[in-house]
Order: sequence, then C-alpha cells, then structure tokens
Amino acid sequence: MESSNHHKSLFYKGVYFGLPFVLIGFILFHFSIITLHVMPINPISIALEPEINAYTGSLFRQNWHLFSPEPVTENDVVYMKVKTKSNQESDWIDITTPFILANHKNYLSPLNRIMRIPSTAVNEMHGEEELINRYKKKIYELNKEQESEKILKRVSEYQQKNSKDTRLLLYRFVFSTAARSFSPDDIQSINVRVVTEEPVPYSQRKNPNYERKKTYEELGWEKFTPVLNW
Amino acid sequence: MTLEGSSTLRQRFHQLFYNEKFLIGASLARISFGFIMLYYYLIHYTQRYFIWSYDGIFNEYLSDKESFSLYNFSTSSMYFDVIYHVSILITILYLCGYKTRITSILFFITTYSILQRNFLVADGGDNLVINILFFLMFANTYAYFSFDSAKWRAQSDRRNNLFHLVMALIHNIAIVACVVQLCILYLTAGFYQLMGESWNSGVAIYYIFQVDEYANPFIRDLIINHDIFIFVGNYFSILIKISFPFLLFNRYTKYLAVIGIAFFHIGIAIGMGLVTFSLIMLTSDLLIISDQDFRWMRSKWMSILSRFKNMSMIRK
Repeated sequence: MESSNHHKSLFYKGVYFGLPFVLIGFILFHFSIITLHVMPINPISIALEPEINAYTGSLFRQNWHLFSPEPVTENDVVYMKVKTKSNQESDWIDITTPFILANHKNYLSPLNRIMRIPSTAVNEMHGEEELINRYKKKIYELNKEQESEKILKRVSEYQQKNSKDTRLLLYRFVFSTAARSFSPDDIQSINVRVVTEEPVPYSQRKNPNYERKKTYEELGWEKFTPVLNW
Repeated sequence: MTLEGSSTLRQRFHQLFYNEKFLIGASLARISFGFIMLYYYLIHYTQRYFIWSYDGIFNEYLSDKESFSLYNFSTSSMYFDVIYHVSILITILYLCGYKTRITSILFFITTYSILQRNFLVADGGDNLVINILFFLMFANTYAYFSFDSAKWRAQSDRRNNLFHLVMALIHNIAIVACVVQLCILYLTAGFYQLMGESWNSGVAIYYIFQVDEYANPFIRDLIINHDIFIFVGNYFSILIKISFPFLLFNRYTKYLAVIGIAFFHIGIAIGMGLVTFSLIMLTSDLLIISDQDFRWMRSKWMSILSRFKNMSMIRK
C-alpha cells in the first residue's frame, strides 16, 4: 500500500515537474522548424528543405509574404470572347471590372472572395518564371550546386503543373461567367485575353496625361464545357 | 535553499504553469472565429457548389487530393451538402461553447476542410486561422460566455487533481503557441517588407493602391494625393510588425503593440476591403490580452457608463 502510494507520488511529481519542460521543448522544436519554413531562403533551410516540408505538410504550411518583398502593383484584367455554334464571335468582354465595381459597393458580399479567382489564377500562371529565377539566384549565392539541381527540378515540375492547372481553372471560371450572359447550349468555344496594366510610377503621379502601359496576352480558344453557375 | 524559499519557488512554478491564464481572450477568440466562419459559410451559401463542390470550378481532376479535406471523400453533391450543413451546425455549437472540448476538434476539422478546398479565394487570414485553431483545440476556450462555463466553474474544487492540472498546463502552452505563431507571422512579414525596394523607399502603399482589387476608391484618392499618408502608412506597417514580438515583453509596451496592430488591421479592412483577413488577425490578437487587462477594461467601461447614467439623471 505504502509502495503504491510512493509510486503514485513519484508519477505525480514526474508529470508535475517534467511535463512543462517536455511541452516547452516541443514548442521550441515546432517553431524553429516553422521559422526556417517561413523566413527567407538561407543555407540551413535549403539543406533541410525535404525534412522541413515533410514536417510542415499541409497542416502547418504557411506563407507570410503579405504584399512583400514587392507588393502587387499591376492590374490584371481578364477578357473573354465567345464563339457561338453558328460561328459568330462576340467582342472582347471585360469580366474583371464588373466584379471589382460590385465589390467596392459592398465588401460584405460573396463577390469579395469570388472576385479574387481570375486574378489569383493569372498570378499563379505567371508565377513560375519569377519563382525559379528567385531560387536560381539564391542558390547561386549560397553555392549549393548539388542540392540546387534537385530543388530546382522539383520546383520546376511543380510550377509547370500548377501553371497548367490554374490556366484550366481560369477557363472554368470564364465558362461559368459566360453562361450568365449567353445560352450555354449556344456556346461553342471561348478565348481568353489577359490585359496587364502597369501602375503609374510614383514620379508621374501628378501627371494627368500619363498613360499606363498595357500588355496583352491571348490564351487561345478552348472548347466550352458547362460549369456550374456562381 | 531554505524551506520557505523552496515553497515560494514551487508556488511560482505552479502559478506559471498550472494557473490557467488568458481565459477571457481565448473565449472571445472562440466566439469571434465561430462568427467569422459562420459568416463565411452563409455569405457564400448560394455560391457554395461553384466555389467548393466537384461540380464547380474545381472538378475532380483539378482538386488537391494530397491535402486532407472532408469534401474530398466523395464527388456526390448530396455528400457535399451534408458536410457543408454539418459544418455550419458545428460552427454554431463551437461559437456557443457547447461541449467545447469535442466541438473545437470538429470545428478545426471542418474549417480546415473548407479552407483547403479552394486556394483561389483564400488569403493569409485563412492560413492563420488554421494555425491558431490547431492550438486552440488544446486550450480552454469555454471558461467564459459559453454553455460549458457553468460546468467549468463547478469543477473548481477538483482543479488540484493531476488531470485538471495537466489540462491547465496544456491550455497555457497552447496560448503561448498561438502568441509565438502570431509573432512569427508579424516578424516574417516585416522582414520581407524590409527586403522590398518599394517598402524601403516608402512608396509601397502608393503602388498597392493602384491595384483596383485592393483599393477602396474613397480611401485611394485620399492616400494617393497625400504623400504624408503614403509615408506614414508605409513605415508604420513595417515598424509595428518588426517590433511586435519585442513590445510584448513589457506590460505597457504590449498595449502599444495591440493598439498599433489593431489600427493597422482596421486600416486594411477599410482601405483594402480584406474584411475577413482583418477580422481573423484582430481576433488572434485577443489572445495577447490577459484576463486582468480585460477586467480592467470592463471596470473602466462600467465606470464610464455609470458616469453617463449619473449625468443624465442630474439633467432630468
């Protein structure tokens, strides 16, 4: 009886004094990994990249760039051109601006989030080149050639698939939007154009005659597939 | 060490690890996160199939099957509807604090599942809510303003048994984890800003307000035409984020951090229209405010109210 109480008391003391340090140890370990995961690329995060990714998984995956290092500065406006089954083509229709105007009227509406779909898809589509260049520059600086090949290959493969998939997502969004103005039975195919409008440079902000530079990218015709209406 | 000294040390140890702290902030965070997610489900109710179901923008091929989501188990729209409506029910139970130990786990699973389904509508707030809710599963978020709070108070005589002590310890560590997570967020975001050329030269806000998606037209004209707003907004946002973790070390500078970051997020909500993002950030900041601080705020508020009452009585 006495020995059982003694063991109980030892167990109580072990938990009471030991557990706080075990939990603090876990917190230190966890947030060390998270710090390596979120901070700018450095020699340690490159060396431990597979282990860090395996630990964070999708549960602890995070990204706190939040408009930095360089914020978004360009307006990506998505246009669609609809070809009917009788081979008639519509004009280019701006599908981004109506969303933005509606959102400005009321931020507490579903459009506050739905509005992000075309711009996020365009950003993801174009993200590949920038990301790979960033990695190349950083890895060159850190002189980790062997590891760099593996990492670059992985990033490149992932980005290629991501770019292809987000293009499809953009089309599906456009299909859904087109079906609101045209009869879905009458649509044969759709072409998408992305107009990227550069910002007015800070030095030109008081120049009312300054014209924003625009670049055009046509993504091509895709056969229409009905997508549920938003 | 003397016997008295050892006893004081033990008391301090007990006080530090086994006295549940930040209970009011955790309870308010539960309610706020519950409301934000309820708003999220209801505001998108008629668009739910388009945004998240397999018949919408993400068909079977495009869905992310590597990440866990309850919505990934079946492509049937009936299954989708069941999960969606059960999630709403769990959210309501969570925000009311009913059987919170269980509902907080279910709330985490359902919230994670919906936020994983469509990255095209996501933002940094969704990322943070997942990180914070993970730790809040281990915290006592039901001590106040909940169905479970009466039961929790009734258990006060059993708080010295090992199970309750361990639960209190886990609660405290979970709150610390939430605060560390917030510090990492702000420090990293501030760090990246320091690396950016436009943030360094003080014009990043000007350029962000050129993007129609993020610029409230009323605020945009005000900001773009006044260099002082661009300058102050730019450097204030860097300074408050970088200093945030360090300001928390002192009781008084902590208030500066909380007030500064609250202004920053209110500015984002109004100026950039990122409503849920700002609400999630503000909610997470509730976890920094201690129970004593909340009680002090309450007593100040009550004394202001009673002063107003007295003044109106005198006028009558």
